[in-house]
Amino acid sequence: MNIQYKKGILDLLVLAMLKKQDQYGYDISESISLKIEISPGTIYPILRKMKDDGFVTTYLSEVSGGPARKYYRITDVGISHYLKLKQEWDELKTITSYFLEENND
Amino acid sequence: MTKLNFMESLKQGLIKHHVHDVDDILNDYENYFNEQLTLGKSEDDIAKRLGDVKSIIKDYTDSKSQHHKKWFDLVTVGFIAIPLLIMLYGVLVVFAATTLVMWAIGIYYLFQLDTFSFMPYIPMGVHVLYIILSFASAVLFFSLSVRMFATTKSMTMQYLVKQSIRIGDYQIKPIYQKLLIYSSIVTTLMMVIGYVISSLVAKDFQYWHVWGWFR
Repeated sequence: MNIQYKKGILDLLVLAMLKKQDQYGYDISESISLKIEISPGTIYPILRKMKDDGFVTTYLSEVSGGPARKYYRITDVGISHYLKLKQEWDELKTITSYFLEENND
Repeated sequence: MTKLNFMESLKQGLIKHHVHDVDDILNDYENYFNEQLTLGKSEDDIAKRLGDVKSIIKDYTDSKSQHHKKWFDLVTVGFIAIPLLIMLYGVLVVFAATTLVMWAIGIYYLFQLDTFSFMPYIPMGVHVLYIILSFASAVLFFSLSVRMFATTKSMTMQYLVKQSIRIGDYQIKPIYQKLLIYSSIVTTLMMVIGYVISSLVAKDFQYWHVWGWFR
């Protein structure tokens, strides 16, 4: 898949995951990078930018027999950003399929 | 590449680019290594999977926190911004002073004071026009000062926070906008009417000579 496609949609994917429930940072990077073949190293910068923008917050959660895990939680701002991104995605999807079907031979 | 190599070059790169909370970032990657190591993967494989250190660093520097740039811009933009701001504050002071002076002139004629011999003579009756003119222009300069203050304040804040200035990026209450419009109309009207009436009363288009204003 085109790298630009992936980068454009990562925010939406992460926020969608977090909307359902809080997530362990490692799990976010792993589950996304396994599905869309993006290096997990590029997901951490995105998580951090979303934190700087106030879309998510983090907290540490103790795990027995291991170091504390960093969890991500979506904020109210993050939810409204998610809705905005989702709407944009839906529009893009509609437009794209319209043009593809229109010119299908 | 070993875990140690990866972590060290990531750390050096982040510090070099003045990214904030480096420890927090390093923790994320450290954590990733540890999780993958427990799955039995080799350090080299994990590092490969994480991707190129340079591009990771670039992701962090693209997003935010370019502290060093701020000081650079503060100085360079300052070459233009600071003289401009000083000038604007100067104009603001002039506007505010004019407001006070026009107000004082209005009061002076309104109460028929004659303390100052240098104040020009205006015949009774006609002086009403000049009182209105003074007060109207006092209001005019007051609303100009408010507008000027809003502009200058916004520009100062923009300069300090963003190191760039966009003129017109300010807000004033609609009441001041209305005051500005009405007072400028009244001021203009009073200047015209004042001139006409004064000329008629003094029977001279250069009535100020008749009343001996500049002697």
